[in-house]
Amino acid sequence: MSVTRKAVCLAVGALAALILNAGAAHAQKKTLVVALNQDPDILDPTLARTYVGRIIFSHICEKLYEIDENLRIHPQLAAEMPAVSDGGKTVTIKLRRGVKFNDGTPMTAEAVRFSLERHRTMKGSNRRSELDHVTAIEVVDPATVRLRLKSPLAPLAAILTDRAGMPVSPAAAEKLGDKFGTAPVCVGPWQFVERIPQDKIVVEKSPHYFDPSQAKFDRIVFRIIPDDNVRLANLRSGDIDVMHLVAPTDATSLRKEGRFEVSNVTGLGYNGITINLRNKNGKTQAPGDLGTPLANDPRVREALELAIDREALNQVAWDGLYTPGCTAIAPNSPFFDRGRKCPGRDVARAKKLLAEAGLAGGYGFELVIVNNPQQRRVGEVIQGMAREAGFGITLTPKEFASSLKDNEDGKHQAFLIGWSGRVDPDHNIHQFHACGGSLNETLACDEKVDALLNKAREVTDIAQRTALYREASDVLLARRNILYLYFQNYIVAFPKNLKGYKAVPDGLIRIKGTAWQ
Amino acid sequence: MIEFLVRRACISAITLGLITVIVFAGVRMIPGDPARVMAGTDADAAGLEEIRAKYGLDDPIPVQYLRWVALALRGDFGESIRTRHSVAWTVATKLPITIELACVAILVALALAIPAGVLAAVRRNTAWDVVASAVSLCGVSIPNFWLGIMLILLVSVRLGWLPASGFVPLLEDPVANVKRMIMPALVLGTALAAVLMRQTRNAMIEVLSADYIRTARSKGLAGFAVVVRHALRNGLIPVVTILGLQMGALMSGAVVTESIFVVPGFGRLIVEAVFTRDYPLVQGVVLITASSYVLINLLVDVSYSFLNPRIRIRGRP
Repeated sequence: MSVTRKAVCLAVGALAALILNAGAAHAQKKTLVVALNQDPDILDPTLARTYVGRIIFSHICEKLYEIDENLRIHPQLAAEMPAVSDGGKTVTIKLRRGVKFNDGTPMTAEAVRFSLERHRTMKGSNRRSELDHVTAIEVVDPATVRLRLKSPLAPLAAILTDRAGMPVSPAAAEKLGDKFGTAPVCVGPWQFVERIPQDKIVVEKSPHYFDPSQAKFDRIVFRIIPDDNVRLANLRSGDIDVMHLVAPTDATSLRKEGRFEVSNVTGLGYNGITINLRNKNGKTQAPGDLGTPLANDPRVREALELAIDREALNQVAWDGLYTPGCTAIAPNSPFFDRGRKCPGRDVARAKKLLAEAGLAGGYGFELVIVNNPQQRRVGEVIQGMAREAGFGITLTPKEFASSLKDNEDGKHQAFLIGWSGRVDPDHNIHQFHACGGSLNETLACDEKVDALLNKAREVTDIAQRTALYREASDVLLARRNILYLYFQNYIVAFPKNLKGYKAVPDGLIRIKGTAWQ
Repeated sequence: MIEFLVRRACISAITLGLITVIVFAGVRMIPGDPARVMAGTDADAAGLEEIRAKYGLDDPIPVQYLRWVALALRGDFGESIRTRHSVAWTVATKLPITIELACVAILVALALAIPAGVLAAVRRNTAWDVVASAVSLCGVSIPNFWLGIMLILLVSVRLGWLPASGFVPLLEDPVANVKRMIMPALVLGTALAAVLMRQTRNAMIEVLSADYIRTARSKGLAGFAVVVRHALRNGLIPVVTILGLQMGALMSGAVVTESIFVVPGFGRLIVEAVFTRDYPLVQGVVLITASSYVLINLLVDVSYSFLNPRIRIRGRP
């Protein structure tokens, strides 16, 4: 008995010692651990839909074009910017030479044609609408492809900076078909190794990449840690190196600690209140009269906007770390309209407008919010501010998926929701405001706006396009079917000795070029 | 006997049939269009139509149901919409992780509960008893997520003794596996330990006042031997019963614990599948879980009838 007991004690002690000592010292790590807040969906550039998936792609699937910190577009796998001819209907793209996919096969013009064709035509493709202007893809020579368009498309290069511009290895894609995402092969400084759903995605340095000096880590492990507090605790304990999406409230204290670099960049996506104007029975049905002052009287919507203090909202809800705004175009975009001033808070005028609308006694409506603590906080701040102007807002929290469906079905009066944002302003405006736009859930429609937005798709000059968007915005901002409130910032934290990190406004983490110092 | 077995098997089959209906209907009653969720905010109408067509979401519900059951009967639960891995494979990789976690948590719970319960019973109405009861009350009351975060902050962030999260398969690296299992198992085990400790205490108090214990003592046996060899063995029977009943609570506790410690187990799988409206995955996971319950019940019923013939006879029509 006592001998056994001694043996057990010894064993337990030895095990404990082993456990506590192992891993105490780790030198300059060749593996970098990045924590994401969500598990990406399928890792196939043609089929993928999630934002976090793009972070994985930025390491294993490079694109014909890439954006920089100032949202300027430059070639990545292409050799130069696209050459436009034939009145904008033919676009010729020269490819970088000597590029290999991560299975060692060459990235030829034929492979690029194959990939774009796959994006354009594969069943279930999520790239189809992005490339729907393309009518044909031709191979000119082994390093040149030519796209034929049905009409000029200024945002094409911007479209090719995302998944639609990712060439996939034809050999791998033909072998795996719609399961390509379980073992993706593209061009990238790293290549896919394994994925354990809800746990991690592992990539390792590619032997085939054309610029191996850019990949300073042998491995990158992307870990999925949904809870903000848990992700933060893991950063502080050193279990992860790079933390995506630090909550603004935590960013301030993390900065004070001094151990971590906290990178904060204004994102492309806006948040605001979408106000239903004409969607009575669903997006696909004919527009109808909702019969509410909020939908029918522009003065009521203007009063609501005047009741809101965007700066105060940012301070209270986001510790002042996000970026207040009143249009769909982020301030770091080359298309941003620097001359436009956002309306400030003016409670007296808001009250006057409500009185003019015959609502001097106050007016109540329902604002639907996505049910999470952050959105509730924003909703409550808006509720409080609007109360002073005479609005009685009822906040209705809804689960995300249900809220999107109800919004589409015309069941909302007002909906606090955002848009993740794209590089080209067209993708942040056209589909929300054009008549019959695919995401125009308020069913607002104005032919003058359509003409301006369509024109802005066709001209390529930035100044000219900026002017068109300015003109369209004048109408949209007076219409107020979307009250733009702020841009979400992307806050990323990592140890101070990780150098070379570049914060691009799309918020994606790019480890390429970073290294321990 | 054969008749009994056939009858039990038939009842189980009917139960399973009902379960498939409930699972299928339940999943479809969750509000929100699955195509919409899969597509995210960015999809257009054509994309949505395509998703619906691909997964047969636009067929009438009874057709969808029959197609699913027909495939499930052949062991094909379909593939996850989100990752394209088969449901069976996904479950097979996740389930062992949660089973390991649950087993370690039970060990932790027993290691804490039995000595504390015995001590509280033997030293009844002393300071020991009060302390043990107070600690047990705390154990029941402290929410898993709070305890988990506090443990991470203390053990991983402040002291740096253990990794804060993650999972390494046991066969790949046993040490790393144990290091990552300690904290989640402790968190999951404490709530269970509290319940078991109360049960042990009550059972022991009852057993210790039984006649045969008095006889054992009067034989001149040492106190320790009486408590451990004679009293504890009998006292443990109700504890084991309670332990069995707590398995459900353990599984639901695992959902929270796995999220905090980022353990890629069965609990997180279910939660994520529901949030992403991954229909095939939710259906498969719930069906597999429910079926295993039915199967275990069937086996228990059958084993009872072997152990106790009275059940078999009474069960005869």
